[in-house]
Amino acid sequence: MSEFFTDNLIWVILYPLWIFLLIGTARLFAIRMSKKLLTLITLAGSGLGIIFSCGALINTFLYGGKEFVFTFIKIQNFLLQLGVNIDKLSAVYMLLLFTISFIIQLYASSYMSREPKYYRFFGYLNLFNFAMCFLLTSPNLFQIYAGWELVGLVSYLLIGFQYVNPVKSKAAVKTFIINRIGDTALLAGILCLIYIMWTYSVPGVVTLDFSDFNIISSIVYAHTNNFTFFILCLLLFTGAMVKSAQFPFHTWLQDAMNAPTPVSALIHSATMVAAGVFLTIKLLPLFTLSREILLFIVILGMFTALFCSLCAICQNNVKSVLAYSTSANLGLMLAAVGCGNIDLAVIYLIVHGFIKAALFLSYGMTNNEYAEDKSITLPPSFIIASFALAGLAFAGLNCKELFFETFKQNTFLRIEFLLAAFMCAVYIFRLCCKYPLATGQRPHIREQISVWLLLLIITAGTFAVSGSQLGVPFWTAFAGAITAVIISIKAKDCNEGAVTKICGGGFFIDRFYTKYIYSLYGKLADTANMIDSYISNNKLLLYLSKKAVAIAEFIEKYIFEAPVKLCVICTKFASRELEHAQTKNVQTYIAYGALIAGIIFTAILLTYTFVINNLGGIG
Amino acid sequence: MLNNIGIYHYLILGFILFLTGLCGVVLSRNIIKILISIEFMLTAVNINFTTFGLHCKNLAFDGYIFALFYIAAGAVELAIALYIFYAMYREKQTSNIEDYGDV
Repeated sequence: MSEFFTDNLIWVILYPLWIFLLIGTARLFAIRMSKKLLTLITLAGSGLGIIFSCGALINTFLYGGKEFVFTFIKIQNFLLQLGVNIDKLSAVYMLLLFTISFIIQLYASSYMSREPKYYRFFGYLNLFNFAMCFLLTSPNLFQIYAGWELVGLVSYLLIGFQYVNPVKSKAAVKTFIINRIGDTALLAGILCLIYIMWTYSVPGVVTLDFSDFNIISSIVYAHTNNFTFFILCLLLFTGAMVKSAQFPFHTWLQDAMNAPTPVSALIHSATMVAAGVFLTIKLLPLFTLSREILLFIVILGMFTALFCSLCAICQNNVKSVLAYSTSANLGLMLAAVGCGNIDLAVIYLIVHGFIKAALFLSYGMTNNEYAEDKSITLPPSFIIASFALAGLAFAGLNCKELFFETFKQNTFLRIEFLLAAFMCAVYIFRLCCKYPLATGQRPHIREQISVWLLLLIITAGTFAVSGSQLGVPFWTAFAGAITAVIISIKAKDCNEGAVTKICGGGFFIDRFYTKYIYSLYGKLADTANMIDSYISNNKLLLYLSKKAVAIAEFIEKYIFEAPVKLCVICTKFASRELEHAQTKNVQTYIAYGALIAGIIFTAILLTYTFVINNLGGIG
Repeated sequence: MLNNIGIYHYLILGFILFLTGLCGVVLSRNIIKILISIEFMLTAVNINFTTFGLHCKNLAFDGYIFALFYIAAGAVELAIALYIFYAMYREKQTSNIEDYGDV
């Protein structure tokens, strides 16, 4: 009993995959499954996930982690292993994942009820649950990479969910391409690690297992110079950076907001984007060996927090503000990891996940994409959740205090953090003042239940997270809130002015990508095209290729097509001759029947005789 | 001479009778001839039954009893068939089976 949950967690992880395959198979054969049943089995998966990951968390605290591994590929002393590795971090993260999944699936069952592709949506949600668990429970870097790609794929599929809309399908492609940069960097980092381990680990086996990552990092550190080590770490960190939408790559999160609101809540704010923080924590043994990379992480995280907060202040779209805010908060988490305070990063990851999910869901509650009414209103729950996000109340307040504690060695960091907290309060309360409070709307009961569940969890988090005193961050956020109110009274709509234009456009980074990098790629393609046409206009090459085509045609005509033609001719002849066999006369058919029965009986008799005579001795 | 008759003689007789009946069913046009041919085939089967009843020691009287049943069933079948043919003959005024196609 003691290890029941950790032993059986693998079935809970595989269950969403089975549901996904079941839905896929059912749709392939056009079998109609009732929406109710589909929602129920999906919710059952997440509910089981909550119970089992909760049990696994308690088990890991009592008896330590657990690991099941089997070898997938073996080449000499290189092992590619798959398995389930459960430690405190992955158990906590899985609890967060399944809880938010459960609530959001409940929410989506009413939010997406007008969607004709309802089945596909729930299938993708199940696939996402599996992919995320696959990533979280990976015992080594390879499985993390596989899970990384899988969640990227699901994100792409869900952003382009309404693919008939060209804007959304283009946004999906753009998101996917920007994510590929990070994936490539991560893969390059992994390959470098394998190369170094393959070359220098003397008798050992190359597995890149997390359980002996300390040894791996020391071997890698010993056999590379400072600069190479920094580059190696940077490659690995770039993967995390892109997934977590950090500074130069944060633009993809804006495009990701084209997904349906439940998906934005689940994937693009609460769980998937935090995978970058997860990877950074997992790779911390490697990163701690280089002071520069830790500094880089802290600076980048802090810079993103400030930059994206500044961008968020001037946004007018609620979902864009929330997306920028996600980037900013993930930056804070990364900065905490860089300072070595992993606990705080994990706590803030969880708290931020719940707060963001609550914000998105309450926004979607009154602004359904499928409704005809397009005027934006905000429900009261949005304002409650924004108090938590700004750090004025609930679990958000405690986390901000903890951040202030963590950054105490460095005054500069402290000031930057306070600035970020100030701006966070400004942008979220500007939204609250900008849009009217929803009155008279009665959202569906399931949507209300899920939002209030999230708010309940945030409130409960106040007592779970220690350190709730009204310190400097609180007063900073308070000042930010008051500033926001003053701003919104003074200027209702900030579309004018150079500053707002620059900030609102996200400092034109996205436009820079489109204008220069995209056109650079176009120029590259043009050059390739030129080389191509130069080669293809060569006389000798043209002559040779014509000859080759002639030979290929000859072969095709006389070798590949001949048997097919022969078959056709034979079939035609046979059918023309056998046509006469149909006489409409019962007696003829009796004769045929007798003939066929005779042949079959004779064949059986002969076979039987043969078996008796020749093989009788074997049995 | 009679002592040399074994199981194969009976079976071959049955086989020849069956083939004759089959050929009669397939080839003849007259409905009465077809009926006679069917009786030939039944008789062939009956011969097989009695043969096995005679030669297989573990069967006891099963073969004979089946043959008796078969004779009874055959008599009933013959009576019914003859009545149907009579009715059809009155309808069509012919005994050629090719004219019965639309029944």
